[in-house]
Amino acid sequence: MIAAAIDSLPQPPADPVRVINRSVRCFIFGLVGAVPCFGLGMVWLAFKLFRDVAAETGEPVKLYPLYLTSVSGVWVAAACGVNDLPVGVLADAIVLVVLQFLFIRQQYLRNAPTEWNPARHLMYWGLGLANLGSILSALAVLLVIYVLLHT
Amino acid sequence: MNFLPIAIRELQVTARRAMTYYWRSLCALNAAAITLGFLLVGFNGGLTASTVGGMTFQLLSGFGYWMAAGAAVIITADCISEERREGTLGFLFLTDLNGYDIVLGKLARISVTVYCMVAAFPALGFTMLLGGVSIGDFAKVALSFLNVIFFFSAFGLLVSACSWNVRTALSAALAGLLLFNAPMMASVSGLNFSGPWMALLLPTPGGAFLAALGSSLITVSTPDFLWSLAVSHALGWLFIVAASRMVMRNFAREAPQSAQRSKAALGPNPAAALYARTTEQKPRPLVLMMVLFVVLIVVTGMLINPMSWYDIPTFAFIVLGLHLVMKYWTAHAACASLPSRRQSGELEILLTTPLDGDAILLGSTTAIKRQLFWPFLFVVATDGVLLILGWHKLGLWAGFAFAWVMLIEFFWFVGNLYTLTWVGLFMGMKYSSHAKALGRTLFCVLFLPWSVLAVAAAFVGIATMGRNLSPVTGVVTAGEFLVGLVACNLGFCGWAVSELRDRFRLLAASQAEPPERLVPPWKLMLEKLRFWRWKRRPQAV
Repeated sequence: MIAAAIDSLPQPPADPVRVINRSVRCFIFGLVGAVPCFGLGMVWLAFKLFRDVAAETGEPVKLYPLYLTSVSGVWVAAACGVNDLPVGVLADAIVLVVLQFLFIRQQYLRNAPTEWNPARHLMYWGLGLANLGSILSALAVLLVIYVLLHT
Repeated sequence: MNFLPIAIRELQVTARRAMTYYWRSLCALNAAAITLGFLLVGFNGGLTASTVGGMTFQLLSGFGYWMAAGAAVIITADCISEERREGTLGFLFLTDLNGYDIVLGKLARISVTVYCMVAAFPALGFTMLLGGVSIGDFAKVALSFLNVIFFFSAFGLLVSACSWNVRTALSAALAGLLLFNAPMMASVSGLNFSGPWMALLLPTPGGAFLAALGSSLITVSTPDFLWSLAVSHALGWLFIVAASRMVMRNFAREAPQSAQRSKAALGPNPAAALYARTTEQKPRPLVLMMVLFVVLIVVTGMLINPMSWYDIPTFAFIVLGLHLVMKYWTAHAACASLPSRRQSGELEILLTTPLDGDAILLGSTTAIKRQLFWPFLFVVATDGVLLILGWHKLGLWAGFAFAWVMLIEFFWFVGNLYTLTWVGLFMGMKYSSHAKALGRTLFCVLFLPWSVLAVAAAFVGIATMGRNLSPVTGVVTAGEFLVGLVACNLGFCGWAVSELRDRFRLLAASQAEPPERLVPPWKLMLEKLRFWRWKRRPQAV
């Protein structure tokens, strides 16, 4: 009864200063996270901040297509690498980046947060850059394995 | 009343804590990764199976020794003094408890270290199958590990029973750790302990440990294993008895008064001024300690090798030692800065003023910088002098490589200091115990990259199956280590800054972290999947 009453209470409005600060920080973390491998810690932080800010501003985000495409894209790149198809890896990486850019853009245009966030675009840029960093890191790891197997 | 009720309670609390299981898994993973890495390198054919077994055994044993000794000292150094500062020690004596009840109860805190050690034993025992290590060696090393944990915990408890201040307690405990291990380090470095000099090595747990490794370290002077084990163990019990007496004697004694605030410490930021009031330390003792440390290394080098002590290994010991001391002090200062203000209520007062969290954080970092400026300058000057000396010693062209290594080490050092400051501030706010915050900070920033290196070595070994190892493999492993180092530093620094800026008031308000509930990772994943399935999100409280 009490829990239900608490659940039905309206959520307090998000602090705009805090939201803007976190969005800017998400962008900065994403920017650093775009550096392959070295920025992996920042990638995790940028994703975490993105989800937190989205939850705070009541923005319905669905990131699982992003994760699914990332994982499948890296698998395809690995398969191309095993079969000695460097052009395939390159094409896969380009297709993956373009697809994910379009997906993030679509999310940015379609989703409507309940709280106004003037730095929302920075948050999405942070997400995109962090995602790019994670893909580049995965490709770098595959490249290292490829080099090790061929020396 | 139960037998040793505090020990039973501590053991029950430890058994219910999630981190106990995570730590244990991490230790087992690291030990397994190191063993696997060496094992696969052995497949290359460059090393014989017995050499691989012996090397893995020595490496794991050395690693385990320092981890066990360090963890035992850090966990126990502030456990009694913390109770005394908070005034809860007196309450315990209102019951039927005795001094030994409390001391042995606090000794049960090291059960986590024992669990971790036991988790690493199977990986250590695996080296027996490779050859070069007998079951006797394994049993001796296992026994000496338990002795190391007991000895240094007992020493930490004695220090804690005599201290009020967390800073003093931890520093004294770590100084004791170095002091008791100095004979072992000197022996490993080649100093000959024979005749009456063996009395220096015999009562230390390091002596028993060296004797346990004796069959593989034939060039090192070692005492008799059983004698060294018995004497050091007896010394540990003496520490326990002394700690019990000190607890009974000192529990009601008032804490010594701290020094008054100097006018020079007052800065434009009120948070910095408040911080500097009680925790400001004059830099001279720390700088003098560092000078003493340098002299000690030089003298040891001269004793070990009078002809060629003036060489790169001596310089490397000085540089690495000074950097380690500086890192420890930075983490120490950062972990203590905000919790001491919170405990005294000053942080609460500061938060009622127009100052926001960022200004308070700026004040704290400024105060830490001021406090450690002169020691830092000394370390930088020493690095510069050693760089010139090393370059002069090696010659113009060969010195370039040395200069590059020094440069990388220096950047790593500065990056670590920055990360340690922020992570220390955050951990200090997150955990109620200073020792726990310090331990977590040092683990995250200093230890974790080495753990990544162990896993990276295992990964390279698996990827190549130990065959066709070439210089490229070494470069790749070094690159992985560098990446792990930068990723750990950047990630933890960003995490600490983000958490402190976002949740400063929340962290300042909470006095202690509640015990974590053990939730297995697969349950978390199932929970997430359930929320995705039903398009629901957990309600934020």
